[in-house]
Amino acid sequence: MEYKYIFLASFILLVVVGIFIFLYNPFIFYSGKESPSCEKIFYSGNSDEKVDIVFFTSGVSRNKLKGYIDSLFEFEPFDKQKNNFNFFYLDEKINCELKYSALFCYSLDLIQKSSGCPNDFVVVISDESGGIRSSAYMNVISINDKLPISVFPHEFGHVFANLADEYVPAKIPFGSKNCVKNCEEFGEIVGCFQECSESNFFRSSENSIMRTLNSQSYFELNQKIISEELEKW
Amino acid sequence: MVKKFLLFFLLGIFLFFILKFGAGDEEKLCDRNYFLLELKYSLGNFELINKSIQEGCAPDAKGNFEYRYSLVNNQTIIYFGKFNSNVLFLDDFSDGEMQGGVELIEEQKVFLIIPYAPEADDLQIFKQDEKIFETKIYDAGAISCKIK
Repeated sequence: MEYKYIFLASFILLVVVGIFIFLYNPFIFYSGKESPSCEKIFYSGNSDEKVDIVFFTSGVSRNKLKGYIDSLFEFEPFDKQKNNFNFFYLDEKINCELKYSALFCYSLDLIQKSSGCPNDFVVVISDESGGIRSSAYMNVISINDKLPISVFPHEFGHVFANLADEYVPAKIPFGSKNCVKNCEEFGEIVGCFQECSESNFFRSSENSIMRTLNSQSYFELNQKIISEELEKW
Repeated sequence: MVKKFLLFFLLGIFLFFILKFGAGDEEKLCDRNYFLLELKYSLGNFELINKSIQEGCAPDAKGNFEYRYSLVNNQTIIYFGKFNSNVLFLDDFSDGEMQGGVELIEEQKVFLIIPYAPEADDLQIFKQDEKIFETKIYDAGAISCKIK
């Protein structure tokens, strides 16, 4: 008789655990393989509804990727939006070139390899010598790992929200909203500082991550712009 | 007793299928197709190099950028995305100061990855609101039994 109850209790436990695993799929660190080389490293749910970022590395340990992911999630508003992101890793060899003294990994080969994972944005972290710049082009970020890890939130600001550089000299891309000609254009945002890509443009915060990699914040206006972009996903 | 074991056995099979196929949906995420357009970007103009249908995941391109592409079926937009093909951000951080800025690209091979839509006729590219490029898309790749 006792065996019967033990058997029944074990079975019920199995069912409960199974249902829990099935339902609690979102927002877990996951190390399972999706295709032979596509690895989920931070997974929060269905890719059709999330911002999917796929990493490649070149001469850099895959273990460093967690640091890059954490660096993005240290910044508001991403810190409160973790469940809108998926991060993947593709263990593929990538050939990058140098363009304007910067690492430039955008290529047909990279784009085709990226398609092995959900890939709204593609990030290549490469072991390069000091002095080689990082770059962002289309939806591809190419990072020299000699730069501070906060270069990732900076470059992501470019490709995700079209944020312009807030240091000078630079150029303001079409549609960028963080550099303005007159302080009045900031509206209710308090703060107006000269120099934003161009010397006669203004930024809304003294030292955001778009101006210096020592910063800990995008600050209010950039956070608002990023939040507006996040709403599209 | 036999009936109870049979019941447990059936429930066990039910549990197995939930775990195997329910949680495993994501495994097939990239089991789909996309249009790959290889274009030559040159000073605001696009020239087609190649178009094909490939297997894999296509990115969403939802940012606020200068160029927009549209997949069109019978003059109805069925998919669109935005991109910046002329802006290359460069960043260095030496001596505690950022430098690098932006280079405006004059010429570059650009690859548009667009989710495959069998009903799509044309692909159009707009610079702001001006149409600057158009190509037939239904004949992309080798998969072309569609009669137009």
